[in-house]
Amino acid sequence: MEKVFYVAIYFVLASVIGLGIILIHLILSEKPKESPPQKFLPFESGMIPFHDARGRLPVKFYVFALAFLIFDIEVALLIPYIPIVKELGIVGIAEVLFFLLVLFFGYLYIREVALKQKI
Amino acid sequence: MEIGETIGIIVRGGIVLFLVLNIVPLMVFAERKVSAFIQDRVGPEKAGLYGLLHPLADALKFILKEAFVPPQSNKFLYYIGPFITAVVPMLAFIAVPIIPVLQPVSTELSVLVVLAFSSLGVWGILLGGWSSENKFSLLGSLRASSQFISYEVALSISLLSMLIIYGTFDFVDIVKSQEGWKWGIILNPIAFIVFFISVLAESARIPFDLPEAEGELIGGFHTEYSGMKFAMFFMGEYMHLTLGSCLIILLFLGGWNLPFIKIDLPDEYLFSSVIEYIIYFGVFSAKLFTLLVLFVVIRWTLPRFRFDQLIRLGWGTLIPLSLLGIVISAAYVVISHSK
Repeated sequence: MEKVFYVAIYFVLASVIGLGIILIHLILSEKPKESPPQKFLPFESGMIPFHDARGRLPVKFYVFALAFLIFDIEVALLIPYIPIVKELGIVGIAEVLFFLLVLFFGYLYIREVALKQKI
Repeated sequence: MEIGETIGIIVRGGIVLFLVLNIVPLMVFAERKVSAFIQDRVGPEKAGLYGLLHPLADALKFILKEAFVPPQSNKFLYYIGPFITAVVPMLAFIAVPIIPVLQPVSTELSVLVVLAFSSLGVWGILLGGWSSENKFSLLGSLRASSQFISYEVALSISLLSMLIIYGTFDFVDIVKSQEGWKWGIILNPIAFIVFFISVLAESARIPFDLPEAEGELIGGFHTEYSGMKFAMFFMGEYMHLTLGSCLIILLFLGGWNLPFIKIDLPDEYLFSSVIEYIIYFGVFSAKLFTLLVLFVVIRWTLPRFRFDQLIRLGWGTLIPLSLLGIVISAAYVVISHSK
């Protein structure tokens, strides 16, 4: 539990630096002058924006997020194996390779589905 | 908790954060000078000797610019985006041992801590792009997040294959086991290649800077940002690159070890351990400097990918390669076990 406290100290240290940069910027920055209303439009290379940005999004990005979840969980499942690599020896690494073989078939499916669509 | 250890963390953390924050202006300077050299120009030369003070002038200008917030944006998330992007790489240095005495919090799970903190960086870009209420920012941040999570898979699988070889989560142990010739790059070269490319992609540098592709997305996720808030995105990118280089050095390039030479001064001299640490620091900084200059040269040499090429490289090539890296680690485990 002590380590959590130490991490918290470092967290505060880093956040103070980040907040300090923002605060210095807010205090020292040039005060806003009278300016034309065009300044407050979203910048879209001089075009006048015709609807707001909170529209619907293409679904293809979510497919990658789902695939990422699967592989990330796979890494998380293999993490407890690391400290006992030397104890388990050949049996352990054989089981890891079998696990990865099963995962590889899943990967082939993801490759078919996710990579064939047009981006 | 003890008072001594607490003060130690503040001192060590302060030194590490000082070093990391000062790499940013040095990198900006190096980037300009190397790009000028490659493109046969002079580069910045007006402020200070050889233009050394230009990054300082830039910082001053960033601070003095108007703190403009787009009226249509979500104010809180608009500020929290660059804050997270700049603070997360600093946080990830919590368990990176530049030299053994400079690891702010020494823990046996340091690899996991660094991995966990460094993956949080996506949030800053996603929140910054979404909150500024601009279609191009939103598209840029979507691209950025799908690129980062795609390459994080390859990154963490190749990291895992190295951990299988070392059998520990502690960076200090990992570097100690790489003494002599047994560097990670020799034991598992495929994992090194995958890790190197993934670090390039994770820090969004050319050839992987799709999130801010100027020709297609104006400025990407930081279109609506100006002044110091924009500079914080910039700082975050450079610190993320430095973090990735430190991970490459610790896992693959032997950390503070010299190849084939064991630095071991006899104990009877005064300050012999201090001199040892100074040598360690010099070796580590030399490796870091070489890697960073290599990244800069890559940036000014290669053109940018298209987005479908980028996704195809990540999912189609790097992930099978990183699985092959695990097979190589398995071969290493079998050989070392049957001896």
